Amino acid sequence: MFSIDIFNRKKLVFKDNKIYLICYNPPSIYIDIADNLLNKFLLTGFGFYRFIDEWTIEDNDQEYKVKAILLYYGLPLIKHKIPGTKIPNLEDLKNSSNKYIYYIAGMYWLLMNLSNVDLPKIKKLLNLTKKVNDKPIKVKELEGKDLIIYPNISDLLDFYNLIQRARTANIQNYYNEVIRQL
Amino acid sequence: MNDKRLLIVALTLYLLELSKIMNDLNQHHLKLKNYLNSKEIKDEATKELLEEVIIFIKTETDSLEKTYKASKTIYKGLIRNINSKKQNLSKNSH
Repeated sequence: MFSIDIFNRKKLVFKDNKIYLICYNPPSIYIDIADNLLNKFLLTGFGFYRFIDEWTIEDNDQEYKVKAILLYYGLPLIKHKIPGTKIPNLEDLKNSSNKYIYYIAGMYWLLMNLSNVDLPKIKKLLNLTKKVNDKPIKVKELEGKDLIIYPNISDLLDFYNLIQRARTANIQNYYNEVIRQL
Repeated sequence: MNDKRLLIVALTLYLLELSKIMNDLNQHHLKLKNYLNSKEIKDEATKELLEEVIIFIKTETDSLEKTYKASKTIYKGLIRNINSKKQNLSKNSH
């Protein structure tokens, strides 16, 4: 059993039965609990359960195996490719000819699949790409892979916004608005 | 203002919004197509993701275009209708 607190480094935190959230935004890498109040939307709203995988983290020079959702600048990655699916994964990212474009393609794919989710939740997900921690952890499986990119989050948000506008634009709303302004 | 005129104003705003969404979605479509066609992308995983998103955007814009065309037809019909009424009124007054 683990006995490190990610918040005050004294209490027991890394437990086998907990699901963690790793915000992998290199050079910043942050770990949190996935089903706390702030992050629960990832599981309940987005159904990110399918992205839970086992990752090896290093914290305070100690290694731990944790069950976690790993977000690579907001893009959830599983470790290995599942044949016949396009689910973003570390194996494909590592083998991609351009990591930035793999990330962008993955994020568009994700947003396309989340097009029925409320915009504020998408903003919350994209905001996780900015999350920083003053005491970073390491993720062993991603060590030395040169994964730093500089994603344009506003472009992704714009795409999501457009899909929402496309789905909600309707003549009745405009008609009501014209009447309201008379 | 009568109902038809109100509808013309609403339709004008609606058509502008549809046109703006289509144009902006096309920009995303174009960007992703450029990535897909660039010689830099050699791995199948990236290509497959890009292809699926490109098809998705195309389906969305095609659907918007159909709505745009149908709304434009209604808009033109209303304008024609109002113009012919104006002409009739003008003839009757002479």
